[in-house]
Amino acid sequence: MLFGFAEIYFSMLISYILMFLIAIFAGFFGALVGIGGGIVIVPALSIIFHLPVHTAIAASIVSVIATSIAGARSYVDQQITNVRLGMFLEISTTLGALVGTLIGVMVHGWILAEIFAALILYMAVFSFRTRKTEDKMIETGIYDNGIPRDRISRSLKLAGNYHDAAMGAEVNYQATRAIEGSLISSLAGIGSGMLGIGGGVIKVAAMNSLMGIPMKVAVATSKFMIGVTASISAVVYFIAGGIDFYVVAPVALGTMLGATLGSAVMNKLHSRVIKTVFFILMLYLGYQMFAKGLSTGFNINLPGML
Amino acid sequence: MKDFLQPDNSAVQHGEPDIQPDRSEVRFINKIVTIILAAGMYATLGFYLIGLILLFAKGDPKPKISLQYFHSFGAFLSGIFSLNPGAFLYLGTISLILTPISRVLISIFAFWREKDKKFVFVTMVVFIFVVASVVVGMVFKINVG
Repeated sequence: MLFGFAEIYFSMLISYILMFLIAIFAGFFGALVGIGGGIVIVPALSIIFHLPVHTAIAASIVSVIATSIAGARSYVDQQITNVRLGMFLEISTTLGALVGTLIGVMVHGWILAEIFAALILYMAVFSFRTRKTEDKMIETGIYDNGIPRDRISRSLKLAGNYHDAAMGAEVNYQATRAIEGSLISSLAGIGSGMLGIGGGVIKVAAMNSLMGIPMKVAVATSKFMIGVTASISAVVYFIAGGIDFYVVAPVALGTMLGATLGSAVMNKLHSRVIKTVFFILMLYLGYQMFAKGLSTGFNINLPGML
Repeated sequence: MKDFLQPDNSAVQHGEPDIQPDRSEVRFINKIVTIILAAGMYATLGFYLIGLILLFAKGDPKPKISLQYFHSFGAFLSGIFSLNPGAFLYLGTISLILTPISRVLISIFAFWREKDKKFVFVTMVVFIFVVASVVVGMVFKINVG
């Protein structure tokens, strides 16, 4: 009897430590590229710990808030985050989440999954092509002067500056294409409302590729925004009673620690490194979305699908 | 998606005073946001750590808890006073979820103090959408879990 108890106690301690370590990795990685890290946590919890997918998703959403808070606190403190830009884009992500929840019952999930796959893969190619030009763009001041600003960006003063530690330079930038950026960001919101993805990847790509925001500011601002979208889903899960607090605690603590470490390192890396990591992540995510669409729409299962 | 790589010299002149937001306002808002996020983070950290330490100190077998577990505020309070680990993990999760939402809410007042009417409006719209999303989510996804 005593032995049985010790065994349960010990195996629980081991799984807590494992969850904590995986979460540190997810938090660290998420902070570098501006994503929530659900892409790591959900499969880890469901495959390694055999948790039901619903429990894994609920735990992931709560831990995404944890990593967003820890990462955002650090980036806002380092003056990299553009809070104004984040607040502005939150209008479209929260509206998107609202619409996503509403149309989730009407539209077939696979159609949306394929649209997302196409969008993410397209942005991946763009991100890869510009990975080397980013440093040059900072040096030549293209982020500062060359980009035509639209009326909304000018009126809301969606501009700012940050100190790039890797380049040792003060970078001024101004946003452009506020409406296009909002539209793409609302897709990130719709995705999180319907497909349970955080949408950090889409936010970062929209800001960097479309709105002319330097990669590091895009990463930091995405990190800042993710918490709000995730907290909406988390409240819903919380009230419905879907959150297992005993899983959430070690995972959230781990992602907090990981995000704190990751956000301390990010500014010291060159943007081309961040962009390359981001590109690999997008390829993977794009493939997963494509496979998910085929699987739910046509029952075709591709290899390596989660 | 490509053309912004080419410098456009017809753009608004660099250094025009109304392009950059007011530096002191940015610093003030950033400071408020940092304080809220740090407070939420350390509160959550504290509650979770207490909960986990209690869990392993008491050696409880893992009980299944959810919102139904604390059917009243009184039950929750007595859970806290009797050092029930679940009650502390519950509290940690609440403080975690409420941190980003309170960040939006408090920002409304921070922009108000800075007399930045446009952003008072922007932030209020975000807050309304957050509340609406929660309500709609509850109606449509009530069978979660």
